Amino acid sequence: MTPPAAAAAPTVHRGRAAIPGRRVASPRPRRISGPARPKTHPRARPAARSQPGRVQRARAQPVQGERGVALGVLAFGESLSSRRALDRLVRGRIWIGLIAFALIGIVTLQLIVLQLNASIGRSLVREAGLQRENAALSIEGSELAGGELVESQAGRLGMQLVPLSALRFLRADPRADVQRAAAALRTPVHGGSGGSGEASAAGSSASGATAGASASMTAASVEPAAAGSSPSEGEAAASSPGVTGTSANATPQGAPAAQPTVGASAATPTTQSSSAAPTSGASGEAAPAGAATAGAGGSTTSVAGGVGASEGSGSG
Amino acid sequence: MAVLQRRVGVIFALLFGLLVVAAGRTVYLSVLRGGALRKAASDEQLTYETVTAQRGAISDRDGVDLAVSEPAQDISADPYLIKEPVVAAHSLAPLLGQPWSEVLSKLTERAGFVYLARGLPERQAQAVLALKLVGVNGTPVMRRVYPRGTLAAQVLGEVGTEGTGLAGLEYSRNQLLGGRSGERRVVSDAKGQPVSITETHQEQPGESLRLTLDTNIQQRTEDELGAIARVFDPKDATAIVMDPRSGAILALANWPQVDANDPGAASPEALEDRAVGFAYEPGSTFKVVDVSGALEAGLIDPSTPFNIPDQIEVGERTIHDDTEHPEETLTTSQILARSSNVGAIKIGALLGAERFNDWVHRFGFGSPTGVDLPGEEAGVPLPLDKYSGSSMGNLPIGQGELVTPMQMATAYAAIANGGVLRSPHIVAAVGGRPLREPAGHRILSGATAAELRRMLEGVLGSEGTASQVSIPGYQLAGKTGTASKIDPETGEYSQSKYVASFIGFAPAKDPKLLCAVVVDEPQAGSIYGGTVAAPAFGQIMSFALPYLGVAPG
Repeated sequence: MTPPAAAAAPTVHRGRAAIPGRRVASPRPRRISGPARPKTHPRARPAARSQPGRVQRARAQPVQGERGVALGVLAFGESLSSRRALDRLVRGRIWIGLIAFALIGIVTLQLIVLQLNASIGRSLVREAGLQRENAALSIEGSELAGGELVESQAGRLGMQLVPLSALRFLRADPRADVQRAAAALRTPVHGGSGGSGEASAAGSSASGATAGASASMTAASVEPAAAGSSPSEGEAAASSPGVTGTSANATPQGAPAAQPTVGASAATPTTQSSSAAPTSGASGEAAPAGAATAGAGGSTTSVAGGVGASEGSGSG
Repeated sequence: MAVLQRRVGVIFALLFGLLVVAAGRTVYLSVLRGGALRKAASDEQLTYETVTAQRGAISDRDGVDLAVSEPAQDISADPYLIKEPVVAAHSLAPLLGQPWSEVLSKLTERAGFVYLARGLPERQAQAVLALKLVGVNGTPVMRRVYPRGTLAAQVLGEVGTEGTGLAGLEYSRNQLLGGRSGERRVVSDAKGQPVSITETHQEQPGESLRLTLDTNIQQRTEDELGAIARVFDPKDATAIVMDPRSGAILALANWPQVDANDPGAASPEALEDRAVGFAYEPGSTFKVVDVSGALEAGLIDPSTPFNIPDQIEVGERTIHDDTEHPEETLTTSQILARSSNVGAIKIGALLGAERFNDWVHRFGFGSPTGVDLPGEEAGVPLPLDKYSGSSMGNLPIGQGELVTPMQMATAYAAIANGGVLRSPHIVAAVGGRPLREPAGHRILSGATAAELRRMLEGVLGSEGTASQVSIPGYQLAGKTGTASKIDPETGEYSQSKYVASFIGFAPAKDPKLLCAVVVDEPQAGSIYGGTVAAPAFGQIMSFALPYLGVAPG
């Protein structure tokens, strides 16, 4: 049965002017709410009530042992209940606001937690969806990487496979090749045929041109074997019956005479098709033979991804 | 006042009565029916979901996925709850991809639980569950998919309906790939929306595997085995492509092919990885063993001449060369190139049984190679104490001992890489962490290995048994093998069943790639390693060498 806050502590209004028409609390000490105090503390209670300062003195006095400390703490706690400052604090109206705020906060927090849990549920569903999508994309990616599909797509783009038996390798002769390459260097003529680049027919002296292979399925290094520049083909392959045809090497359509170079690494290996032709309708920019142009760039087939730079027509 | 007191008393009595009723009800609900109500509430609101761990993917060396797991559902039904099974079967059959009659028979079973479909793709499963048929439920699981179908199917293996690897790498690496499933506690509100989700056990996804396989070389190798099958109609065939320097397996193909997504349709024999599980008598490809031993012992050199008659008697046996010929003089190189049985036996006799047996084991025959594939056979070399008087007449020519294609490839890899016998491997990385390559140990001196490589070039030369095979720009080396098989009915060597094989590498001087092709019981056309297996070797190598950027030489 707590009395109204206004009536409870007269000192609260100590600094305020009296409001007309408002009931003023009587100056006499009011009854303090709370359980009836036991009568078993005849010494402590009167001391706390009548002489509040005595507790502090008692605490200041040395008390023997832990029991004395505990009793002191208890006495202090008890004395707190009778303090005015605490009374004012507990009975202040601000508590209404604080408690209301706390209650609203708790409810809001609960709502937020609920929302969070709901969003976790949604995230889990989304995670499952993404996992599914990821797996599907992974499967699709793997299927698209299949050689047959790549070959058929390349075929649709106008590229065709070159039988492996059509590949030959030329011997390198660095000194002669460099000279011939330098002699064959010409300004590229733009707007030419074929794929991404253009083949510059390096005149009759051009012993070879290596396609840049940007769009070529073969990494097509194109090697027009010019008149008089018969490559030395100690390794000539066309004659070997053992290995024929099903390879994935390919050459661009429209460049039947082009000699695709399979190439990538060192400067030695060059392949060329058995049928020599001076120009390339193929992709890439023609380079002189022997210029050791790596042709592996945009190859889509395995062969094209492979061996090395083309080189000139060897011994010539 | 008295009236007021009476009224107060009545109201109090009423309130007290209500309080007693409420208390009684509370006791009834919480004590007497407490257990049932608590269970009902938890069933309604509290569920424990199993979070299936995503099985790790298997990819090739370039990251192309070969095995992937995707979410799926097991669709089950409680036939007792299906009110109209005929109608339900009509609705379900097209979504499950099963005949109507089959679905109906499941729905009318006298059981409380039947599986309608296992591992149904999530999209299909959602369509089934969207029908909202009472008694039809879905359980989330993971489904293993092999996007490339038949590619390396025997190597990859298979996963059972419970998500456990049953064969191949899926089996041997199951613990890594499988991960660990987790559990989630979900409290839902009246609308079924989750209001509290707690991970009771954290799931642990499986680790991914990156293999040394190259899908393009693998595809080409499988294509070539298919071509052999079309022409020679063998019982089965296998091929291995390996980097002899590291032992990395770039392709491992088996024929007949198996659809990894439907292994149940294949015969048990077809599911076997023959590269490690097929023990056969190697025939002439084994001749390098005694030649290696004799070279290393300094008993012969490549030009040592031997007098070679058409046939030779060893113990009670007479062994012929493959073709009749007059007595002639052949060097060691020519013996290998022409695959002379008599010559190999003479070299074996020089070496002696004990040293020959030692070399058999030095090359690793009789024990698994240690390749990280399951089901590897050790092979069966004849124990030295079981040698008879004629054993040195058949063992040096590769008859009388059992080896696996992987053992033969590993032995030739040692010759190719300069004399180091190294365990082959197929797993390059686990969970993105590269594995250390096997170290290996030297069994041959570099000089002997180089001499052997030079001699093996002759097999593909004009006089050799595989002279029709060549690859422009590349010098090849290898050895043909044509071995008779034991006829299980007679216990004698069959006159119609052979194993044709070829093992070779290129470029011969500095080998970067090795390929072994073994064809079991070619039926049509030819039975010789030089004509059945060697051309496939040529085709595979002519694709793989430029593809890998190996410079001609």
